Amino acid sequence: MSSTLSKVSKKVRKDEDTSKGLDNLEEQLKNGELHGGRGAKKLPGTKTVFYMRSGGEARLFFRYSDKEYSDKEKGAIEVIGESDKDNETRVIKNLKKNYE
Amino acid sequence: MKIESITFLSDLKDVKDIFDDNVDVAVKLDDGHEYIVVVATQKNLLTLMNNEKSDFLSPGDPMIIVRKLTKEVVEDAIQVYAENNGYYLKFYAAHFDIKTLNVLKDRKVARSKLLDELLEKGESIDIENYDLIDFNIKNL
Repeated sequence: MSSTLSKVSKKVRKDEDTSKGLDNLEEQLKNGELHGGRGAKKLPGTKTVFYMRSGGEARLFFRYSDKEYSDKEKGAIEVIGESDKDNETRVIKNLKKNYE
Repeated sequence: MKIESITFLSDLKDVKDIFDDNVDVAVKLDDGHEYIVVVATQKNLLTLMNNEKSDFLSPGDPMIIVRKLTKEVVEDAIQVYAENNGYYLKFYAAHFDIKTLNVLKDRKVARSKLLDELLEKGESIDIENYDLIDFNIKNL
């Protein structure tokens, strides 16, 4: 996670409800349950970035690993951002700038 | 309240069934603030419950319910929610920590109590210029 996005993640996790929501989404993502919460969406303007949304504030951004990774890791999922709704557009702008 | 912009935070082209999905939408009002609302279809509520394997939807922020997820319908709904100083748009997009929520409830109770007292005394109940700190919430 980039330095800017790490700071956003730290800030939004100060809210207990958001933090719990992010933990739940991460668990669901790990188990391949992409329909968890309000479901996953592809980030417009990118090919590999998606985000999951809790019923509350939590927004979890992730991507599927690409060819830069070894064959073993190919297809693995990497969490690249955590947000709440207040910071959602800011995080999306940042991710669009840094990921295809 | 005037809407400056409406931005869909995912592409509507990616929606497989316009009668069964939900999207995040960012709405910028002329007060300079941005509000994020979730817009969902009626059918999607059932899908979400099925996904949760539950007979009810787990607690979450309110969603604007529409018949179908098209740009026109979503924008029309948001225009209506932005009426009356954007009350319902702001309400649906609001998220407060529990302390703030408790303060807001206390303020509402104190406001009601003050109105009762003023009416009892036969005084003016024109109190809309009172700020939050003008209400005494210590002795509720």
